[in-house]
Amino acid sequence: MAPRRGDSRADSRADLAATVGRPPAASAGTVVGRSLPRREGPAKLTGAARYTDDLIVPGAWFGFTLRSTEAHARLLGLELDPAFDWSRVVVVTAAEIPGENVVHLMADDQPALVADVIRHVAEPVALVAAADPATARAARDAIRLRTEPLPAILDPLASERAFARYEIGRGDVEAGLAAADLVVEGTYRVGYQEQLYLEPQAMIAVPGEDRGVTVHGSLQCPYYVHAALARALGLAGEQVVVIQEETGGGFGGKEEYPSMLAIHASLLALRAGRPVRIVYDRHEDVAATTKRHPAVVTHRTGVTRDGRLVAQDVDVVMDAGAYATLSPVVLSRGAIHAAGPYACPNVRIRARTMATNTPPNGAFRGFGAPQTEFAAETQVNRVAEALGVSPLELRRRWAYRPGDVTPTGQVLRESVGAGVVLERVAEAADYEPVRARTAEARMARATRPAGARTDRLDGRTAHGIGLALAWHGAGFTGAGERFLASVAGVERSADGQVLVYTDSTEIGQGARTVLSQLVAEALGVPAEAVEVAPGDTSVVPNSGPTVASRTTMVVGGLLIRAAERLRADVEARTGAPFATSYRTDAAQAGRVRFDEQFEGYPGIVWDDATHRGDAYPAYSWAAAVAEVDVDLDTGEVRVGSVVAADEIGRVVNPVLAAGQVEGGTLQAVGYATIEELQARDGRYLNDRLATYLVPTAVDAPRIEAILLEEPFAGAPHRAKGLGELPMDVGAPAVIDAIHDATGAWIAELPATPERVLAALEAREGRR
Amino acid sequence: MRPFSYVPAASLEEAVGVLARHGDEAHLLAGGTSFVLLLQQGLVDPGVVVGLSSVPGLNTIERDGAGQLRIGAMATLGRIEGDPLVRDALPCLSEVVGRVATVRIRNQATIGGNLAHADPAQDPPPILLALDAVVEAIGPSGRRTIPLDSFFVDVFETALAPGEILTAVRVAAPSPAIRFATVKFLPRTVDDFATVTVAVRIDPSPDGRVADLRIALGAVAPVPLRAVAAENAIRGHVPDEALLAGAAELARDAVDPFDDVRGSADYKREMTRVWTLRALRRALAPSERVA
Repeated sequence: MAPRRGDSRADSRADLAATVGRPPAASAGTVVGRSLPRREGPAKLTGAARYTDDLIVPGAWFGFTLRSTEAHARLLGLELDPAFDWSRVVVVTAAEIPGENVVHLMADDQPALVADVIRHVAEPVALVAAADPATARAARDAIRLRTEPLPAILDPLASERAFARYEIGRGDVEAGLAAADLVVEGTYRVGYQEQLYLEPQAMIAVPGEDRGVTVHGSLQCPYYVHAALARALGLAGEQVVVIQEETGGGFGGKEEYPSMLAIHASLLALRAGRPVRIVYDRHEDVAATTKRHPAVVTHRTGVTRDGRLVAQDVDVVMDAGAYATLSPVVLSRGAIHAAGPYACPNVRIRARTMATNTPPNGAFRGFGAPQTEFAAETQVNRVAEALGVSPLELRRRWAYRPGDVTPTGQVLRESVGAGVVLERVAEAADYEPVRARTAEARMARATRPAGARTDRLDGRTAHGIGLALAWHGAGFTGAGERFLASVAGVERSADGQVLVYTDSTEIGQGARTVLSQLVAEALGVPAEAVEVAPGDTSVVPNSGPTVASRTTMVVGGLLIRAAERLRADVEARTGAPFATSYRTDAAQAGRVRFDEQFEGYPGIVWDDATHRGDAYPAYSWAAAVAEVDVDLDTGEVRVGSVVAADEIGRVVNPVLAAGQVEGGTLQAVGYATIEELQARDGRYLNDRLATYLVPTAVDAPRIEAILLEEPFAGAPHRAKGLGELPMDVGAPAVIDAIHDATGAWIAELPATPERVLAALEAREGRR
Repeated sequence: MRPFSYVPAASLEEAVGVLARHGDEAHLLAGGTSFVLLLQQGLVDPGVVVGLSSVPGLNTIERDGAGQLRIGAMATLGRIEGDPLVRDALPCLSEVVGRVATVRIRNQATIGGNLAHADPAQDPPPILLALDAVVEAIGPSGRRTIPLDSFFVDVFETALAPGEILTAVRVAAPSPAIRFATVKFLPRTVDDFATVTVAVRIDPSPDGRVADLRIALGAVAPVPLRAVAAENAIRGHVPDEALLAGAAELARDAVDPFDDVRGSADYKREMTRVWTLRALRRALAPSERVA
């Protein structure tokens, strides 16, 4: 994965400034912009890090979940095998839930345990725990569900029940299409994608003396779990403590489902009067937890003969699964990004997310945008082909510039990086020269006589290059951040330590490292002087969930402001710089802590009812160029390289930022080429690692990450979000490259060899 | 999975005895790479597991008096890949086992377990079929040999009788004039099971004809199999592109693949054609050694 030219992962501000082509940001100091090593890195590397399943909890029992095997059925009852010795186990059903039987999130429609109606396969129906796993498993297998089947709806297009519908737009689309010289239509489909974090879901519940409970788990959002536990257990907030243990990845997959596990483990623990641990194996994790939403996206794009974009009509249908989970907001983000980063006077985006009798889909890196941006970018590349214009040139004309207006009516005032990512990626990848060569090769193949296909030992291959551009709103959509009203704080303790207080979780992305860099810089101390308080809800405030590319931008901004207040407070008392006086000041002033609460970005206005206004405080921008080799006899696609340029306002830690780009790009390449979760009758067919595969290190293409900075004035550190951005742009670049190689468009992800071969044969049949 | 007792066998005779005593209750454990997965998925549920790793000499690789290579059942794929005798006499086999899964699997999985498991998607069977390998077995009624060609009966089913243990695989070292080509079509990841594997062996005759040949296929039928009609179409002829293309079509018509995540049965049939043709071309390509 070594970069091709230059070292984009360079460990210095100077190199980055050269990459960006502008002087370092005004606030550049000695800490921000440096590639400090990940704080939890050595422990993870040496095996010292303790994940939830590593925790030794004396006396803890083992919990297991009995799940439905039908997509839709009435639950008539549970039959416990009388031959089994039930005195050695505890069993919990919906009837034993002390609070409300819901997994609290948005719609409160998902039960913690099925009470009367099973709505999807692998839905939790009963829980068992015992002193050893074998007994607990045997107990689970000794319970039989009595059910009466109900008709199941498995196709979102056949479903009549929507969890959310939006219509976004400006101008007059029908008039725009009528006035266009050319209207290009296209329908695009994407399937499920599994997050496949390394560590499967795990939770340990420990009952407290006051009927309360403490849970330790692998999770992204401690306060989501906290709220869900209080609700389902009927407890007051202070009776519930949630502790995030070292977490082996999340990618959105530990945003929703850990609340379910925490409720389950706690129900068993309260019932058994002792700690209970639930640790999923990979099969249960893949079979039961959330996936990326499958979607069908249809485009009608109107252009003039001279290549102006005059109308975009987009229809988005997502498959939500059986319960709402986060589907309404996944759909909202997907819809807002669905027209792509292009200025267009007439836009209409209609979107709906439909209920089906399948396991609920949920958060996954990109949160609705990878689905719609794959469709939007492939559509733009098809328009470029129809117009006979280079995809790069067309994007140069269409891509957002400062002053342009988005479909929700947002005026993009600053930090618009579409142009700079396009130009930098095209230059670094030699895009136009390579494209000229692949076009020549394609022409030569087309004019060769049919018999010439046997001129090589291993048949025919074709090389192609593809381009895509994406935008990604940073932070919660619309008024979300205002509703969250996140709190984060910085403390100088009585013994002279600097401590960061936030529930933002470290899930492998480097949150602890980046946040302490930002605080250290604001205080004028080395990063090593800053400690991060443990992710324990009895200790840290609710800074909002660790999702939506918001941690560095939103929580980082709050922490900088809190640190600035702390610094001013200490310096006012001591009359000396914070760095030299904060330890001695501790002896006199004792513990000092400042919390900041989010109050909104200046000038950002959003109307939830009409879905109009400033959808995000800022957008990050990415462009990618992929090169592929396609085996024309087998349809096999090898992605050889991806050059990605990501503009994120301010690069806080270059190595961690490049790591996000590389990891996100590889996840996008997997989405584009091999990651396919097949389902039949509402059940996943390949819910194991032997059958659901992601690219290995050996399969990974060469990835070059170029980091660019267009400062965002709304954040004190000028940074925007990054985590999800690379996921939006990789797949359409690969699909465009397959087209460049072969002339065939793949309209459904992933581009499996069989799908590619079918597209090639359809194309050859037409000729 | 229920608790089971584990018997580390000190000899083959002891293992045969335990199997005879416990019947269906007992299961053999070689490297465990497949057995443990079956156990986890509840597809086997033994009361007694008989370990073979404690049997002395069962992993020996040696050349016997007749010049044949004898590979003990408990030799790991990693060991076979690097063994000097195998590299010298059967570089094609070393190559194939070196492409199985990952190095961690290869250092654990054994050739005996691999063959006895009879998963049709395994890599070693086609090349061993092309080499006319035979397996040795021991059971309650003594020792016998079984040609590999008649060893695979169905998915996960072999010609081994109940209580019989596969002890070795024997292969005659081919003359240097004989040419091999093996392909493993792996379009998803390097550690996936093959979508199709092909092993081709060509015994050329001095006049340019193909005196004899083997075409063996894996992952495209309930058992690894030879494409006999395709072999017959080429045997005795001077190969040209049209002959090979016709034979590849016969290979396609000989297979009976399953639909799965690697593709539909139709796609796998077509891939059988494409990769058989490519393997034939590679085996017949002038002089150069193609990996």
